[in-house]
Amino acid sequence: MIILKGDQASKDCYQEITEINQIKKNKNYLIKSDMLSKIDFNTLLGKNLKIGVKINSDFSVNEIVESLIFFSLIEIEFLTFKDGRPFTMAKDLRKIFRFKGELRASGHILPDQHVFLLRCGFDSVKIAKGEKQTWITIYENDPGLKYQSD
Amino acid sequence: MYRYDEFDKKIVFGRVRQFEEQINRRINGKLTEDEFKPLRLMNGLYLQLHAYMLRVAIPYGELSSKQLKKLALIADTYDRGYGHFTTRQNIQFNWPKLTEVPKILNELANVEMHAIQTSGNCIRNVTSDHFAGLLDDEVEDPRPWCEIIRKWSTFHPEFSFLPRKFKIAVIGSREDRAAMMLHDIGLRIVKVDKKLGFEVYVGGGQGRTPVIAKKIRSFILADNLLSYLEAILKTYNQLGRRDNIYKARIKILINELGIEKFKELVEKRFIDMVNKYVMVDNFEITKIKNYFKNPELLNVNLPLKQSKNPKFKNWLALNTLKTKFKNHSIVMVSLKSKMYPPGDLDSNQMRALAKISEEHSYGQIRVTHEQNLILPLVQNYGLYNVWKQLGLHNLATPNMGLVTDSICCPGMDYCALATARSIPIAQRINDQFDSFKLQRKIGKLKIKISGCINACGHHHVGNIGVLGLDKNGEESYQITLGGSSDENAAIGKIIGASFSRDEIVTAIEKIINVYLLNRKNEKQTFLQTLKVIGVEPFKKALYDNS
Repeated sequence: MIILKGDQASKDCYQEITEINQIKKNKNYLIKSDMLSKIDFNTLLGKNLKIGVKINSDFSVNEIVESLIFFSLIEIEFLTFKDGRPFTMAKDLRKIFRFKGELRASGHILPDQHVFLLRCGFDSVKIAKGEKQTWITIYENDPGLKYQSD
Repeated sequence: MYRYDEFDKKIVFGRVRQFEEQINRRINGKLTEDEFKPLRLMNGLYLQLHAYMLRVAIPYGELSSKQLKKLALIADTYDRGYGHFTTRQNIQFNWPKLTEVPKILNELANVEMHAIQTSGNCIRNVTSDHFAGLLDDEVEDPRPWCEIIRKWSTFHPEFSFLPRKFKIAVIGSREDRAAMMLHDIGLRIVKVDKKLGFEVYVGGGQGRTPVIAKKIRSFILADNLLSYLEAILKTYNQLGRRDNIYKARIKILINELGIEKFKELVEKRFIDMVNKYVMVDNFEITKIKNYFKNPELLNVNLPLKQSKNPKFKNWLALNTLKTKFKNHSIVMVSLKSKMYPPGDLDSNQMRALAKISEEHSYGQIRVTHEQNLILPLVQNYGLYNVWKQLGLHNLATPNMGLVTDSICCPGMDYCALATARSIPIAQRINDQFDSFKLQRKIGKLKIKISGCINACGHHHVGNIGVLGLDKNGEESYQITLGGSSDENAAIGKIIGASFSRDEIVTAIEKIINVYLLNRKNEKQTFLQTLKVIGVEPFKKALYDNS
């Protein structure tokens, strides 16, 4: 998998973990939402860590609003591209909860949704390496015309 | 009428190119059918029983003669020479080839038309009163507000993958001629303390769970309209069900939460966002209102040509209506003649009507949600000529609002979802009540026919509704009585066991006979009579063989 920001591809700099005790110093970790209850963020202060949290379309962002300050990344996984809830989740995180970190989309997404993702506040998208060119071509061909002020 | 500026045109042509690429990716196997489906639907392209079907938007029902001629050209070049007008101010072409759809869309874009968001789980094309701007019963013309909503909802990044389709209608009068209460959001323009705003209704719809919309706001200031719509859409997108397609409409969410709880959630969101980032721009409104100004009306005060021809008199009485403008009338063009399926218009008729509109109605035509057309501004002195010319093309059937002016979905003749045919039923009703004298005797009566529970033929809100079902492989038809789609909107009630294809028209005749026998006088409508005598006399006539 690679991370696409607009037309720029890069490696994922976050390590996805399944256990809290995998967290060491000086690294970037992506934790799953079901690990949130097991983590004491105060114990991580001063360890030069970046913590991201992975949630999915079914998750309510209200459950993490108290902890937003600890996250440098929120990855929202689309369970299916037809489920448009992450668009509103991203808008809420940006407009209501003022989340300033990186918002990333992952899961089952179509390249045709890329521009909508960016316009709703996502910064990046996690895609299969082999899909890179299709995504970039569609992104570059988008005329950038819109009626809404976002 | 509405007009597209350079920016609008760029957006519409851009979408044509984008969809062409999506079709290529589908043909090359880079998109699965499951992935392609929502993309094609958002461009109005269905896969029906026999072929693809392209649904083209007719914004707020408005067509110019130039556009109608273009539809005729598309019908002849890319389809089978006709189109079908729907119950949401669209026209459908039933036989386009997938690879030719971009060419059709390009033809449409050249005359400021498109198929954007006429389908799919997004905010569909906005509909309105087909008499908008013509009568004096309006607070304000609703069409500019429809156009504001169209712009806001087109390719909305947040609301293009909703749980289910989402329909909005806007009216400007107390009388509801757009079935506003049957929409996911219905808006009625009102003035309170001289301030312009909207009554907001939410959660109406038909399908397998028919619901009349509930009022969520008595007044929202016009400046805040889009913010309030966003608050509703955000709440729905967040909480609408996605586990069951049949329970995914906003009406189900509202029924499950209760209107008060739903309103509380919407209002909370509205408070979070009001005056922040979705304001209606006054400059934009003024610009759009100017687009909808009438052409300079000719004030020719010649008398209406008198004729002793009783057919002309009948047509004049039933198919015309005075406008608020001096010396101008609305002409209602019935698409319910015996010769064609309800709502169908062939390319020769399209060209003829375009020509008549150029000669007599400033080149303007409109589409009604009841599958008829109107010429909105006909100079009175020309009415006789209009009638004669319409008659040459089977477009002067004097039956507006009468028993043969039924709404009817395409049914199993075209639709992949249908469980029975509906067009032949409408045609047989037309045959049965062919006598104009009998139709006039019966008076205003709305029959609405659907070929399946999805209710595209609006059977739930027909005074007499007919629903086609599949009963052990045989077509059968269930009757509902008492429905209405106007300002007193009501869902009809099932009267009893269904009827076979051979029995259904006789059953309708029996119902009408009960009405005729029991009405107090000719002015008492079918619905009023039903209210007075109840359903039992109708049941007895239909089911009591003793």
